[in-house]
Amino acid sequence: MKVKRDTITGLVGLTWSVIWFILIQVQTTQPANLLEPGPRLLPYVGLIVVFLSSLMLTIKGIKDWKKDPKPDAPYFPEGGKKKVARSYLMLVATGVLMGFFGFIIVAPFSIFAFIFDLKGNSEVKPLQAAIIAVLVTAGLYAMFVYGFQVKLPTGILFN
Amino acid sequence: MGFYLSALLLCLKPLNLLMIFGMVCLGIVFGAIPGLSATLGIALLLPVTFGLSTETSFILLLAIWIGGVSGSFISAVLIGIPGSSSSIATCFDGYPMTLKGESNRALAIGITASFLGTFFSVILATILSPIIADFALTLGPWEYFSLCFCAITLVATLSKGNIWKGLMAAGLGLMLGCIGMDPINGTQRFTFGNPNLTSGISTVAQMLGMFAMCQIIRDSARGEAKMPDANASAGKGFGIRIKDYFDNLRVILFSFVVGLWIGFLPGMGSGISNMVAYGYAKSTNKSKVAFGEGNPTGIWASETANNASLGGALIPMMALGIPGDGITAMLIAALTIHGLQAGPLFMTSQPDLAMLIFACVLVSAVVTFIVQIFAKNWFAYILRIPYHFLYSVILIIAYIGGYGISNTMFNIYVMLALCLLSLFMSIGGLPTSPLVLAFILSSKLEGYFRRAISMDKGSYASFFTRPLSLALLLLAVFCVVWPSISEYLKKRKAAA
Repeated sequence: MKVKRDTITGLVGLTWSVIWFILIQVQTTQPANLLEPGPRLLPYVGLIVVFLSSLMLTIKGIKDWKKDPKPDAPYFPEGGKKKVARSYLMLVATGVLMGFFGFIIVAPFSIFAFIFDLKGNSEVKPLQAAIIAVLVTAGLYAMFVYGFQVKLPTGILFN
Repeated sequence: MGFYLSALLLCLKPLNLLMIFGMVCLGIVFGAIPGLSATLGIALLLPVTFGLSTETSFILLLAIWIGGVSGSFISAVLIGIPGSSSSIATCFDGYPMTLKGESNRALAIGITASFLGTFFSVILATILSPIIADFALTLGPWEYFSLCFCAITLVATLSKGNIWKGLMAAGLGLMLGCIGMDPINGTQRFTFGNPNLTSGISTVAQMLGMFAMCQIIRDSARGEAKMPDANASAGKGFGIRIKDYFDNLRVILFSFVVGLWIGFLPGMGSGISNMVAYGYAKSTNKSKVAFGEGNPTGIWASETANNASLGGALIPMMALGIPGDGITAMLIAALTIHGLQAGPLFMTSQPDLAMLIFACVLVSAVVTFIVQIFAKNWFAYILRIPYHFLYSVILIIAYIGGYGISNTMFNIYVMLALCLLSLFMSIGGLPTSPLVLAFILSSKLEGYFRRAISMDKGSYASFFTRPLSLALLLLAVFCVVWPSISEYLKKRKAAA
């Protein structure tokens, strides 16, 4: 039995509502004797909105499934899930490595990797990609650091 | 008037004019390429402005906005894929005109209609905003709360897809807005003892994670990055005659009014206005050429309306501090970064900067028009830029932006986390606009509500006894209830 995507979204929302409720108790304190509802008001409003909409979405998904039990069309085409997971991991790796080694070392490798990750069916020559990666890094560094006076990550190792 | 003229002169200084020209060109590229947008352009440009003066920052941001919104018709006409949702209706007749070898004329109509929509809507926004701001100064926290509440509800219920998905996204936006210090007592909420979270989640990190990073890796995984080849025939002359304007005058005027009004309403914007105007033009068509087969009136309607929405969206942003869409939300964030607060007080306390915003939009509209006229025959080349190179550069700029917010790696991690959230939201079919708007408005919503209750010594009655507050609350309730009523009425009609 394949449930509808709406039902899954609704169930995730309901689970998150429970976690959020616990977080409100742990992570917020309500000062005594306030004339107004206090700092817990907005977290509770968010909770109620997410809880109710998740509940309605779950019910809608079940109703839709009863009408038509066919599973929803997949969101990603074949191989798309793996591709998006790989791309995301590359983004995380870039972030973590940039924290250690800084922008100037990580950026050319990341740009090179992104070019090959995003190229799809296009032909890309490694040398061409490498030259572009180095030139773009140098150009961005010069533009931001010298042109706009914006600091770039230096990396823990070089701090 | 004095402030406006000096702002206009500031925009016309050679260096500023050069910056406007450069940003307009970049904006047109962002607008033209499907998958990129003016919103993304502003998100990437925001961190660049950290070290610049407020005036220069806004000149850059507004110019890329105008270029981006205007440029979205290019891909709609040349390859039949809209650069953004604001040009969906332009595809219906723009692309058939290209297939018939009339791309030169279709592009000329797009350029002219975009210019007319932006130019006149900004003039109206310049006149109306100070009047609305003066009125807004007489309102209290009750009305402001109801206004914020109504804006969030409108966006959540009118966004694409199911109403519950819109509300769920808005709820998540409110939750994200809770992180950090509360706006009245300064109590820490959901900070987990991390000092980086005390000031809350950065809007720039949110935009970069949710719009730049998520959009690029998602579209690449879904195979949406590959576009068909642009097909354009270079034409002689501008492509349209004076007679064309007069033949379509009624449609242009109607589309302008529709665009302006829809742009004014939070959450609707150019994505809806172009469809409404196109629908009207189609229903009143008397031409021999059917709509959908290359009728130029369709482009006039769609492009005038979506660009008129731009001026419409400026009014609530400037006069009330309420963003109508993702772009105006980011412009408000940009004001905050530079230590300013959008709203009625901004109009009266910083009239020079307020007028600079209007003047810059006007000058950018003229520059966009001129650039597009001269670059018309090269538009097809924009769509041949290898996307994998462009997207890789955008991703790396997003890291620079994330780091530049506070010069720490923390906001890069926030950006990555929000990219993941946005990815899951896309899979679940949740729209991002309600989340962004609820996040931006959450502190105002909470602050006004709690202040109003404190002023009334714990009573909630004033929300319902003050006429404007009551009207806005009723409108919000109506927006939530209407889809169910409408569905019920449709079912009853079908049964009968």
